[in-house]
Amino acid sequence: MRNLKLRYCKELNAVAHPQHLLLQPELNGGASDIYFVVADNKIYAVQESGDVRLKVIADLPDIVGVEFLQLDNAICVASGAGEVILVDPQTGATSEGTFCDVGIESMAWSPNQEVVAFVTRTHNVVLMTSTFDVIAEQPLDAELDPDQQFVNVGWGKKETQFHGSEGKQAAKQKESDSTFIRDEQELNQDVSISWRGDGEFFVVSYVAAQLGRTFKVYDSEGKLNHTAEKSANLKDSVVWRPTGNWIAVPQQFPNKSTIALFEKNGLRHRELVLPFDLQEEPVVQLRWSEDSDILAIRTCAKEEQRVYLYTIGNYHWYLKQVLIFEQADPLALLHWDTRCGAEHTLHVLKESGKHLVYRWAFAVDRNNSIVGVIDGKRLLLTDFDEAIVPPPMSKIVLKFETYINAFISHGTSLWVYTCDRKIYLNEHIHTLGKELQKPIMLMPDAELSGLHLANLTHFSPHYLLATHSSAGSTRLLLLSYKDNDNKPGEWFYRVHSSVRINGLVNAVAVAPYAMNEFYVQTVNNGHTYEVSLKADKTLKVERSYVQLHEPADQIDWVIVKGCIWDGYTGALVTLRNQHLLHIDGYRIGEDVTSFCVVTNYLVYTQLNAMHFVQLDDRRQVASRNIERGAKIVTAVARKARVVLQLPRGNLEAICPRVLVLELVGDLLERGKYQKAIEMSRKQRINLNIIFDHDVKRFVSSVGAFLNDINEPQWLCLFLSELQNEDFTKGMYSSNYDASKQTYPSDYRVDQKVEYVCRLLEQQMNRFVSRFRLPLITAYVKLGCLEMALQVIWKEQQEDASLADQLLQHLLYLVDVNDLYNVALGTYDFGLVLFVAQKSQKDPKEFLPYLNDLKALPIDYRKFRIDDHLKRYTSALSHLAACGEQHYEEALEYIRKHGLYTDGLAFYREHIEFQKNIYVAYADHLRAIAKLDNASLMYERGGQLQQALLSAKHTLDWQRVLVLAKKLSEPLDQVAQSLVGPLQQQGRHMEAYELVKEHCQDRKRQFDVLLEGHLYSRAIYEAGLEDDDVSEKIAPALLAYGVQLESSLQADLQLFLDYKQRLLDIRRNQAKSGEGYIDTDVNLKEVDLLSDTTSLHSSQYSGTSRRTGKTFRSSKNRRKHERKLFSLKPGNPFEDIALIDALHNHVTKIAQQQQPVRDTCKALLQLANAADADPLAAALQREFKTLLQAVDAALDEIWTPELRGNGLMADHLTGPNVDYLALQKEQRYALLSPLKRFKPQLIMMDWQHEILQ
Amino acid sequence: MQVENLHTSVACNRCTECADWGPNGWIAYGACNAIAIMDPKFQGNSAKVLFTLVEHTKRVNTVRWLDCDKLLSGGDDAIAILWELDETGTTKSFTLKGHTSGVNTVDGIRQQDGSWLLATAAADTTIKLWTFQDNNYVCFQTISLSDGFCFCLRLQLLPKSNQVLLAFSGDDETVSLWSEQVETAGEGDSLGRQFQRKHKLTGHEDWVRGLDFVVDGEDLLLASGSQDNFIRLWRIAPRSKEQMQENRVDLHQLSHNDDEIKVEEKILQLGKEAWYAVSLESVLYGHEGWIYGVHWHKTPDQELRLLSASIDKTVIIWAPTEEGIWLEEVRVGEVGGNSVGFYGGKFSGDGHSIMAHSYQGGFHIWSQDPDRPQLWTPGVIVGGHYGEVRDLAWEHSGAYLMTASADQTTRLHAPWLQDGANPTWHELARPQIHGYDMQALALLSRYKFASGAEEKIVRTFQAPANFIENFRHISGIENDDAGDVLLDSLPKGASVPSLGLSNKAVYKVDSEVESTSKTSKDEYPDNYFVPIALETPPQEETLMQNTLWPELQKLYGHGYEIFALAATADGSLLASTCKASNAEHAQIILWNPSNWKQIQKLSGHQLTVTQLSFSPDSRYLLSVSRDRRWCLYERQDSSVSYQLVASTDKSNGVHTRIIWSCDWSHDGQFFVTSSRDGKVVVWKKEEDCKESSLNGWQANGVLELKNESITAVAFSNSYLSGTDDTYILALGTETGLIKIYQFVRGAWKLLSDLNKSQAHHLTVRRLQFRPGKQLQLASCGEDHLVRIYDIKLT
Repeated sequence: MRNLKLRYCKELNAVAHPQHLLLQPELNGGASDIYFVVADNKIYAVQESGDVRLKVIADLPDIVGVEFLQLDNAICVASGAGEVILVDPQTGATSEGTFCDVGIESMAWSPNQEVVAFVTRTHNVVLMTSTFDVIAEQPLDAELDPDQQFVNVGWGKKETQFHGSEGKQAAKQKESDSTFIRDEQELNQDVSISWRGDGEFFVVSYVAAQLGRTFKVYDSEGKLNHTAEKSANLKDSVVWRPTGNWIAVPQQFPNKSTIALFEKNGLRHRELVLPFDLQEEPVVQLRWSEDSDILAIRTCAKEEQRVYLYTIGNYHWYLKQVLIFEQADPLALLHWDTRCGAEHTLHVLKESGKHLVYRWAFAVDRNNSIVGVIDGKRLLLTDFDEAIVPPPMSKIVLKFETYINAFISHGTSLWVYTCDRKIYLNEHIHTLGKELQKPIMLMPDAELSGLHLANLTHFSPHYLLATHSSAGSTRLLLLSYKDNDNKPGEWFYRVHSSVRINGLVNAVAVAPYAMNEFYVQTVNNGHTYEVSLKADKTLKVERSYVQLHEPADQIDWVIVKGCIWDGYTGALVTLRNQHLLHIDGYRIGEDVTSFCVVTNYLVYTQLNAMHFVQLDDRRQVASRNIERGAKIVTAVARKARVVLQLPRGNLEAICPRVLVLELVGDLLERGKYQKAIEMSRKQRINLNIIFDHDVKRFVSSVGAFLNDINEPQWLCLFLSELQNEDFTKGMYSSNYDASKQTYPSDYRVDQKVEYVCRLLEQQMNRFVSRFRLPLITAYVKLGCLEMALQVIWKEQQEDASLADQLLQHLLYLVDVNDLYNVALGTYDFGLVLFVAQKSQKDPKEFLPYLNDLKALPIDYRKFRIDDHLKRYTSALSHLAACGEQHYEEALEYIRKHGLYTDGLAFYREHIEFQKNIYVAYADHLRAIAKLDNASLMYERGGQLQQALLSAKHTLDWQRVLVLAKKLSEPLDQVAQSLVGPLQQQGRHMEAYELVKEHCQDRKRQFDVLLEGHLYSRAIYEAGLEDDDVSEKIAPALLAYGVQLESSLQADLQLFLDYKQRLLDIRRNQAKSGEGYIDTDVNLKEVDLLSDTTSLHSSQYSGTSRRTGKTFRSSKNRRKHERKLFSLKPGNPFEDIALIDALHNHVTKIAQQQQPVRDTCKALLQLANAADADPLAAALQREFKTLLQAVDAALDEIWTPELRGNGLMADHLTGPNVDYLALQKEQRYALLSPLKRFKPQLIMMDWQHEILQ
Repeated sequence: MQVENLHTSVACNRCTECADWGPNGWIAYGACNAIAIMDPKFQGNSAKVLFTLVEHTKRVNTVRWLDCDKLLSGGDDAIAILWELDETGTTKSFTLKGHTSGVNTVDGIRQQDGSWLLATAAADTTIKLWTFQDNNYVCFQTISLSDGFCFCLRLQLLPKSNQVLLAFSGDDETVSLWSEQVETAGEGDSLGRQFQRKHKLTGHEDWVRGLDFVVDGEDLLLASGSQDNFIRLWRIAPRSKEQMQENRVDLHQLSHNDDEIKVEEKILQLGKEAWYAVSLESVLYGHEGWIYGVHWHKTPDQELRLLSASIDKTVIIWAPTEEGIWLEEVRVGEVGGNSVGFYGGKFSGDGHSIMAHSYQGGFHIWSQDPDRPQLWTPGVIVGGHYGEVRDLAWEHSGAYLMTASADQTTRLHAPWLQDGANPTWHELARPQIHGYDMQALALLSRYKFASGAEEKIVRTFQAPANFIENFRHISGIENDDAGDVLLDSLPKGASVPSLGLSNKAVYKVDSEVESTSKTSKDEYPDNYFVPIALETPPQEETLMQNTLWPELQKLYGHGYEIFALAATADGSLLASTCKASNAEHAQIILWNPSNWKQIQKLSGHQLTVTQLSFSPDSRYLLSVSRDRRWCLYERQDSSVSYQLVASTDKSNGVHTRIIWSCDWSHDGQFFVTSSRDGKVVVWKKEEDCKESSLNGWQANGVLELKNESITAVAFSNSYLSGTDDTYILALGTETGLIKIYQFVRGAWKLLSDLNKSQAHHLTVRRLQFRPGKQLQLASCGEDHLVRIYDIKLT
């Protein structure tokens, strides 16, 4: 679907009567602007730009072939006399290559310039290497080896074959040889050679005796490989397509003129039918472009010379361009540029010395969805919005009188620019396919009739833009058309205004909504200029817009969506063929083969992928694979369709999800839910998007949603597809901006299904008759099968058959057995029967069961049903309603299913029975060792004895006594029995209370107090009773004081020991510098390391450690910890263990404050005991020392690095990891976090002033 | 001359409703295009096909007994036939023409006025209703099912009424109930009667393939068996007008009133003042596959039994418990084997026996043990091939007959000798169950044979020990020296390994202990052969898996499918030919059975050799061919190699079309050839004459039957009793007829002519007289039949 678009045509001046053109290939990136022309036995060097400076570098008569040898940087010239010399292009120095004494007819170098082929005057084919050593020589008319000649494989005789339109009599015709008999001497005797692109084969065309013009195929070894099939009337040009599949030779038939295409083996393969007669317009030159895309045919008729450019697609030859030249200044030669990147550049040299350089580019001419293809005199138009017509067919064909060179389609107008420089204007093509009115023909005015216009572009309704280049500058032309004043009815077009730009303009882009601005780009420096149209219709170059590194081949101005109204912003998309794609100079992609803008997206293709870029933020939103080599033809936004053309020419239309979502989104915005759902279904879009697209809007317009959807089945689909997931953030995130998505306040994504179903259900419930099916679906989605059944059941009363249908629908969604259970759960036998009859259940089984149930009283029936359905709580409530006769069963049921609390609630009215439940509950509680609760329950259940026992077990002595009282048991005795256990539990005070209350033995009272070290209390009691304190209390107290003192001393010692040891270890580690490494060496033998804690050093990898113990069980783990925290000297983790021990110790010490204070106070109270005061003072002193020692040492022990603060973390994870610190950190990680900080000592005022 | 049929063997067609057990105790079933009538209680404990009824021209799809002497059948030839039978066969038949496509199911019922109401359903999506009275039949209604099919239909007289109820199942998964119009307009005029649809029974979730009615007290019970694996029982109970009016059950009030919960009833008005309530009685689930046939039986004390046959290879008899729940009482079926399942099943008239026919056409019969009613034992039955039978061969002394068929099996038929009774013939073994259609067969010795299928190799087999034991026992063989020799060395049996293609010998049989240990490997054992000591001819499931013969050798040599085989009388040579279109492939290969080497290739023919025959003394080998020629090869003295000595050519061959068959006279003096142009020629060596290609063999007698193609010919094994020059020949034709001729010195005389019911109804493929003293002839044909005749000369 591509056309050749003329980028520029520049005119240069060269040498008159040129014979050959030599272009220097690119050297070091830059192309030399010097080229060589052979004319009049001389070789001229021509400077392309600047002043035309001709330099003769060699002079040789009768030049038959020249070649620029790239490696040698020399020009190889062959003369008819047989001389082959090498000429240095700079100095003009010559050196002899070789000599052929019989003279040379033709010379051709292979494309890789390794081999050269000559045909001598004696029709010998000579093949030489680049150093002119002969590889092979043989006469042209040598016969093929017999084993290489054609073999008839026998597809039957000619008589039996099908002859198509020639009919059956064709079978009987003898092949006439008359055409061959013609005197071959009359033919052009030229010999021409053409190499295949890879240099493996070449073809020599010559006139053979008897046969006339024919050709032979030789390989690069000089061996004759094939001869041509017998064909009459071949002409003298021959050219091998560089990709190698065809040899093109003009051939004349009685009824048609063709370019015959032969295969390598010399067999005719197919042909290209020419639109003219070879007799009248003989072909002078055939040239394939270097990339094989374009075939240029130069013809010479009597009155004018023409150049035809053909391309092939889908095996159809399209005539894309026709250039017409007057005979007054005839053409001398055609030459396709061989340089990289300039494959579509054609050099045309005229006899007068004029040098025209045409630069074409392939482009798709699209007008929204309409794409046109030029094919000679026909314009093939297809509207891809309506149909995908595969080329070479098309929706409509417009025929013109002359060949079309370009056309512009914009909006409803169509401008066709033909080879004779007329413009045909048709202004109403929006009715494509219907009869088009006859176009207006615009004649060029005098100025324009001589200009070859390039870059024809539509600008505004009555203006066109075009460029015309000459030498180094370009004129931008604004063309308008008007009525011819002299001849009414005749129209002509003319230059309205123009502006000259320095440099060659190769692309023009017009801003579609601007009307007065456009952009042009020049080849020379890659500059893009903004040009504006002034009010007086003159053009002005405003500013340089974007500077690219390399000039682009294609530029396009696009509007960025949403900006049209507020001053609009646009962007310039530029693409260099097969290269880089830019938006306003910002690089989007590499190796881009084609692009197209559709709505808000820029779509571009790479070799086998298609990408979508959002225009506003230039974010690539989606990609997909496409068939290899496909290029975009056009995109139809309205159908979300992208049409691709594959290399062979066939079309493929795809609906990319991004575009479809855009359409669906648009429909949703406009509230066209039905259409949106239809489109989603058609394009396999998940229906969740209907809701997720805009949650708030959906919620607010849910009524409209329901109204719009006329088919309830669609709603069912929608509901059943719902998922607890926001698709705009997941599957379809390409089209949505997650940050812009807002939700109603009460909505959460993980409850989406429920939310939507509730929402719709509320609405649908108002019009149940319309939304029966979706309502049922919604209930199923919500898990309310019962509600769904009720909807059907209600319907059943009015319309049984409809209810059957609804049930059928429900059965699609739910298993019939589940439904049966749900129906049973309604206790409505009618409903049960209704459902059961639709299932494969045997009536003989379910009927007796239902009848059994029905025979029961209602409540008990419900109980049985609930029990059957395992709804135990509900079952129990119904059983409770059954009353007395089921007490036993209820109790059993409660026990069985553990429904004690429920049972108590349900049986609130049944006070007597409740007691049974309490007892059962208590039994249960006792069984699970909740004795205190059990006691309470027993009490409520009236089982006081049991309550007492349970309370006793928990040593709840108040309750025990109260219960004992209730049971009128001897209180004292009960109380006494409790004292011992209380003491064992360390609850001395309570024990004392009991003893005091219930035992009159004062001694025993004191014993209890003293045993609990409750000296203050003892002193108080003694004081009250005037007992002798010293006698009873003092000895015990003093003994205790001494014991406490020694214990404090021991604590201090222990603390100091630990601390010292810790400091020693640390010092050792610090001293040895690499102390950790020393210890680490031992690690190998130590199996204390936990597998779960990480202690990997840079020296040790975890895998080298021995396997075996995993310390997985908790018992093992504790044992392991104990081992790890062993205080045994030499343990590699001793410091850790010490810290742990110290932490515990310090905490314990801090807790001593109250006991010490109390003890001291008690000692002080013993005023009469001589050694009490010193003891108290000593105690206080000892403790103080202890506390001070602790306090002083805290910071020494808990160093900052132990804490592992945030600072530490930095260099542990940063780029420069401090492995030492990392090791330490890992060691400290063995400690529980709490113990990595120094213990907070909560100090109270524990000292007695008097003891200081 | 009297010809009596000794044995007929044929399988039931692969259709549902294709077999029925009549009130007279006979089982009628569709066998190819014929209906076979079998007496399953022949001589008390045996079974025999009594006769065949031939009138259909295409496959018989369904048969149904209407009465003791009336049988209704339907076939693919779009006709239904009402047969009237007596002890010896058919007396009358009436062809019901009208359908345009195959008739699939039929039923008929006798009405109070003595006339018959017949219903037929066909693939042309119509059901036709006929009345039949006084040998006249009229089709009075055609029910069009638009584009659906009827799978099964039943007619039933309504209780307490003269109304007929028609139930049929269609491909819409429902059962339709139709009855006559209530309007009295056309009463008395049979043509005015019209059936109308009254109700559709829905509930099945797949096609309903079996229906049956039974009268239960005042009610009717309809059983429907479906491909959804369920059987549903529907109750059709008469209702009075009052009941009808009260009947309305309000589902919505069900929980609140005191009525018993019942299944919803549908009230139909089927007569002027007759209302019936239709309700679902029960749903039976027990089969794991499609259910094809259901059949009711009512015991003398009015208890109901329901039989259901399923594709899951089981047949279940259902009985109601006291609570009315239907439970399976007996489940019988096939165990193992490469079969699919049952296509139908029936109770016998007394309900003490049940019959089922399977996918491969085999019959099973189980009888209730009179002493232990829970015990159902399998009984003796006659089966047969379910594809065209292409070759047969008698054992050299006539002890058994072996047949090869396109159903990919070879079967061995032998007489069951019982004291005090005539022997009946049964299938005793199935030596080969193959993956290709069988084509040819040659017996090398009593316990060794070669067979050719539609493949390029000839396979040879030898009987296993287990067969020899059972064969001797059942057929009463004595003095079996060959067997004695083999018994010790032979394998016990054979089986086809799970992933194999050839029968492998099984030497050692796993002891019981081992086989009980269940491991995963045992699920797919390498062999599943179980030796069985037979008292009676074996049942189908035994035949299917336990009577294989181990394969001895594969003979490779032919380039195309094997076509004919022959062996010399002493088994010392085997000759084989294959399909051929040129002389190279048409060569005959001679094999040496002692070492299985090729001895020689004999050329002579241009096209496929259709049959081969060695002369009784093995001196000559005769071959006949598609190229309308015969060739005669003679063994040179003192060598095993044969040489072409005579053949016909275009000038002297009497036959102008393909020569189908050939045979030698027992004395080696004559040989006979028969061809498609209806010519039978007896050739005799007259004098040495080297000039002609015939080399002295001359046509001694030519018999030409116009418009017949003689596809089989055979000489008997002796002269006509009392003569020394009169030969007896049997001819079989393409139309299925068998003719017996005597041949005396060039003169033919027709002795007997068997019609299609007696002989075959499609091409006779092979005829052979039984070796031995008695004159017995075996025949096989494309109609799946294998028959043995006893010929008595009068």
